[in-house]
Amino acid sequence: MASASKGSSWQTFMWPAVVGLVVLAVWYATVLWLGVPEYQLPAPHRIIEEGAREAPTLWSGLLQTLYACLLGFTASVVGGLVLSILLASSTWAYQGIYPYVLMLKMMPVIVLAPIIIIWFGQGIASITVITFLICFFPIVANTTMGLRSVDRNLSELFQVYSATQRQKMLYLRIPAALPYFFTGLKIAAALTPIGALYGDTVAGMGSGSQAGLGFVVVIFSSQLKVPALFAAAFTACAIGFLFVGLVNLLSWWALHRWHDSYLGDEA
Amino acid sequence: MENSTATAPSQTQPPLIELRGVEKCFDGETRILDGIDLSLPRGEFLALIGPSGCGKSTLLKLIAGLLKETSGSIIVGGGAPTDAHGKLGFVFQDANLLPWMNIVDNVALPLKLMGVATEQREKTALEMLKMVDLGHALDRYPRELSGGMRMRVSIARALATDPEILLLDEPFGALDEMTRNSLNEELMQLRERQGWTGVFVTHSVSEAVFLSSKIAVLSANPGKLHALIDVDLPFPRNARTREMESFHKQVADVTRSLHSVHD
Repeated sequence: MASASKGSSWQTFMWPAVVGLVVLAVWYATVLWLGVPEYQLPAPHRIIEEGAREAPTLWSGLLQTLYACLLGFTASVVGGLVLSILLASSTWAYQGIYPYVLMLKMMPVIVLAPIIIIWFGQGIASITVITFLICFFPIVANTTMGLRSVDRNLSELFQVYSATQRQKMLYLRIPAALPYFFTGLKIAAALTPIGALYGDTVAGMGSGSQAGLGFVVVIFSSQLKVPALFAAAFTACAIGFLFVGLVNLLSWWALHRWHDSYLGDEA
Repeated sequence: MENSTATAPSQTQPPLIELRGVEKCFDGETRILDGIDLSLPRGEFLALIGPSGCGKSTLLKLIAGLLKETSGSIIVGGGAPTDAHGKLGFVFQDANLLPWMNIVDNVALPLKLMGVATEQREKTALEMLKMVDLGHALDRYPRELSGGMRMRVSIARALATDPEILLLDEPFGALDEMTRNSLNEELMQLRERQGWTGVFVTHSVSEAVFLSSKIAVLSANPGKLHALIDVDLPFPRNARTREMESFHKQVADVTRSLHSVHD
């Protein structure tokens, strides 16, 4: 991977630019020559125009959704970590609790959403819970796996020095599980906007600055504002990039000095 | 023959490590070790050698309290092996360092686990790393070091708690011969200075002869004590020792004994 991205830096910009231009050309060709109507596929410049017109709505939706993402993601990380440590702390905890975690995961969020709204009401609390339900599982599954698969020799090292369970957890199992945790975190980060947007469509508040991107999308689609819908899609995409980027940065910071996955980054 | 007080086994004190009729079975049936009797006075450095599968490493882990004997008794420092953990250093195969810690933190880890204050343990870790000539690489991580350097970190870590007993499980098995020889010499110097009692597992006859004051040759299936050979070479030993005729004679003797295991 490292060698693939090594080439000179202008190449890393050139190829995406070339592909982007080709896609744009095909897009315009489709719209102009095949006469595809705007409510099916708007021309790119129309998306920009309508996006600019709806900018205040999109912007406040973006902020609201970002806020929901942040809450939902944080809940997933904290909840996921606590649950993982609990699951990994003893065999009975794992065997006793994990099936129910799986069960929760298997229940489609679409089915749970009405129940959640009855419990937490319309608004940010329900959206956070929905985001949590969509994001926590990859964190739990990966982190638990990491906590449970500690190198046997390192485990013996701790035994030679009569380490307590707590010391083993803090200095051995948690650090050893970090690469697994970040794998889960990357998946969760990509799922976060999905959770927040979906939560918004079912539990969002429609009024003014309370409306997240999901709600904005519902309104645009009911008004058949197709170019604005496309603009909303690109806006939502930015949230995904932001979260995944932040997690990648965090992962790099925590792992690059010692983990083999960053071996290519030296020098 | 021995001319160093630090390494001369004392005959009057009770043995520091004592094994009586030790038997070890896995899964309740496969017998790995049978009827092992060994007695190590303070200052002795014992090599365990034998064919693969003779239970050398198992024996070492029993002494370290990492495994429990099926029958027989093991006394380390006057008590059960697990009670001797504060007095024990263990050098694992392949260095066995924590990859997410730099080498100072790795060496300080045993002290951290024992509850030594941060300042004190860093000071000790620095001393230990300087002792094994790694004072220039303090902020490095294990993956940034060569195999030989990693092994030196591992030894420094085992010695950080100032142990009375040092156990080494095929510590240099993965290294090339040059590195191995120079590490053997370093280990010899450290022993002169710190005077611990040691047990180590090795596949190399010349390493066993070079380092130890006594060699236990084990036979396999199940592992039994085949021969106990005194190494008659003066301490301190150094690179010159390997050129001595008596060294080669000892190597030949031990090799012969090792071969007779199969007869």
